[in-house]
Amino acid sequence: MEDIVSVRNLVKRYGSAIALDHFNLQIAPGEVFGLLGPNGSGKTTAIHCILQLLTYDKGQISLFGQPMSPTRYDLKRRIGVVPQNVAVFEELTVRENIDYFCGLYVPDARERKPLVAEAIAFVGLEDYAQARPKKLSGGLLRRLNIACGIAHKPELVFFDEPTVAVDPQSRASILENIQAMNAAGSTVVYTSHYMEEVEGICTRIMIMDKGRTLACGTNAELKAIVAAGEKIVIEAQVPEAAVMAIGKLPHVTRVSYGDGKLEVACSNGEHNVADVLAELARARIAPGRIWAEPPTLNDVFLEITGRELRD
Amino acid sequence: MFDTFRYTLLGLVRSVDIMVWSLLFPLVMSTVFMMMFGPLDEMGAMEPLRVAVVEPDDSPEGRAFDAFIEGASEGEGALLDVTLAADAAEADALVRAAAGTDEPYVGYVMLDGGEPRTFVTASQSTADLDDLEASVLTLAMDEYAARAHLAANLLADDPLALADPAVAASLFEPMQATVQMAVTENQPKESVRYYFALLGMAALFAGGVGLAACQRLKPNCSALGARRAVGAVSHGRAVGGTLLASWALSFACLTVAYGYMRVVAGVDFAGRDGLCLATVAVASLMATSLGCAISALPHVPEDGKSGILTGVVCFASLFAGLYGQPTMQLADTIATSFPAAELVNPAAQVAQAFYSIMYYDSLGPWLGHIAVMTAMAAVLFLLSAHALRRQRYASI
Ligand SMILES: Nc1ncnc2c1ncn2[C@@H]1O[C@H](COP(=O)(O)OP(=O)(O)O)[C@@H](O)[C@H]1O
Ligand SMILES: [Mg+2]
Repeated sequence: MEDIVSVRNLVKRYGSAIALDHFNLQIAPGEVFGLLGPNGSGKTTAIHCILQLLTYDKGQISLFGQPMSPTRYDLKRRIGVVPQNVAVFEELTVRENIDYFCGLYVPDARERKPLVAEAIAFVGLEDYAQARPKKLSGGLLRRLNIACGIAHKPELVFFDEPTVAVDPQSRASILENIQAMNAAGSTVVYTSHYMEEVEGICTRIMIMDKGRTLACGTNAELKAIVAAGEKIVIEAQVPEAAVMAIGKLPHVTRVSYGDGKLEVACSNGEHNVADVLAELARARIAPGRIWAEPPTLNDVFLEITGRELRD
Repeated sequence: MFDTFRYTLLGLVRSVDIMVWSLLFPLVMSTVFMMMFGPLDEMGAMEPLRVAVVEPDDSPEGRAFDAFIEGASEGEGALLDVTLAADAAEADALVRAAAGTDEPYVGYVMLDGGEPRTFVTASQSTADLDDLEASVLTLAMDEYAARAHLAANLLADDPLALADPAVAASLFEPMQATVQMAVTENQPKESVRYYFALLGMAALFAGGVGLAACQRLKPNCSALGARRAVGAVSHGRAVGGTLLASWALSFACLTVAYGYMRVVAGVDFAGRDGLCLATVAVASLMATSLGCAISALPHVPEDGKSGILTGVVCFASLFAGLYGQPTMQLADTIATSFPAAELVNPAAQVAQAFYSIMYYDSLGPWLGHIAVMTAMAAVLFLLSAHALRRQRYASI
């Protein structure tokens, strides 16, 4: 099937700083595609280039199989955008805001009416339909921001970090909404620097940093990149010397210690846990709870860049 | 485009700070001016002066004076409200008896040796209006004396001709107009200039409407602008709807200010409402273009742009003479020494356009100011055209 989003060799500079460095992106219809990267990695810039808000230095961008330009209103009509920062009219009510933004895509006011009502119900703002944005809490404001972007039932929706600074309840509801939209047929592009979210809802994930694609694939495919090992976590008071010693064990690829937790990443080995415990015994350290974890996307990021995903 | 227009308008109307400056401010200032100058309609349309007149004798001078008094107390807009008395003692008694009542006499008049003599009551109150009435009566009688003298000389051959009511009327009728002009013109003239200057200032403050509307439209000026730009409404329509909404709101605000001055403050604008509204329409267009142009300034944050607008408004208003007598003199001096300074001062152009409506019968001067304002709007729109047409940015 033809890609719904296709970005090839996109280069974007802000002055001399490079924000996107030969960035590539292919998204198939029906996906919930996650764009995962730390702050400043170029996620928002990529979306703004795709939407033709920003000029770019090089590259081709196609949507729905057709080259995108600022005046392709026919293509724009099929897209929904939920921007990173809440952007609504302060003076208009929730309903008026949604009606305005829906009106950018659906000119007929009568046709719009049920769509607006549906969007309000979808994000659970029924009780606030007549309220002005400044009366809404942060979480509700985010929901309004979403409703404004999706009321016209777009085929393709961009969500740029929709859950930043949101209470857990609203966050759960937002993630549910996104999955519901996808189930109803929309293709979703979702950016975040929270790996748990991306892991939870995305069919495919791209990890990016400094304007470049680091890895791309399903959750499982990405984790396979991390030397198919395991992560052992031990609760104990471990002195520096012992941490160093454990780091030198065969099969141990990485070791870190903090908050009374020792994390040891291991490549394939027959008796990793036993080796680590033996080392602790040698240092006369009594371990508390011990468990093993599968790798997370953070481990993948760490593996590729040597840095944590979250700073 | 209609949705853009409607919601832009709704958003602007509900913005408190915009409405305070564009709508409330001119009304408050008008009210302040009213308290400073008093309602103008009372001064402009004067009640007839109540006056006792000693019945003149049957000499030619007496008959001429009689004819004049009759003419001056007849019909609508009469100058005098006359009560006849048999002699000076009776007139004096009449005036004294009425003093302090609701309907006092300004004084009494008698013909003495062919010349009118005016006796005014000593002012009971300190109200300016009483003094004014007394001086108007004196003025009227002095005028009569001067003209009678002139007429007597001219008609030295045939003094009886003065007794002909038709001749007397043709001699003295214009005089009534002269006296009334003296009353309406001198007093309110200076204060009306404040209202004109205020309209100029209000027109520029209305530029805040266009400024805010443009800021909310352009992707590089606000997150809202960026979001609106990704929608499927064509850019031209979005810009058109936005400008139309700004213009309409500026027009509405200025019309309210104008109506307030007209109805509440009693500035009558010579009754030429159509011309005044046309001026308001053109001034609003200029205001919108000013807002657009300021919004188009690169590398200036939104607060900075508002500050620049306020600066322009205050500076331009200073030279339009809004801040009192000294600045009016300054404005006049500048207008005579540097005509170009007034030509490029939008506030002065608005004020002058209203001034032309009020004081010139010919439309020429007014059309001149309208042409200058239209040209200013065109130039300012041209300056903002690049920013308004843009759809993609190097950074937002
Ligand atoms: N308007 C701008 N001017 C200059 N640099 C910018 C601008 N916007 C973003 N950048 C830079 O571009 C890079 C990518 O930013 P962004 O796309 O916002 O990242 P993300 O959305 O992943 O947090 C960052 O290094 C940021 O500092
Ligand atoms: Mg971002």
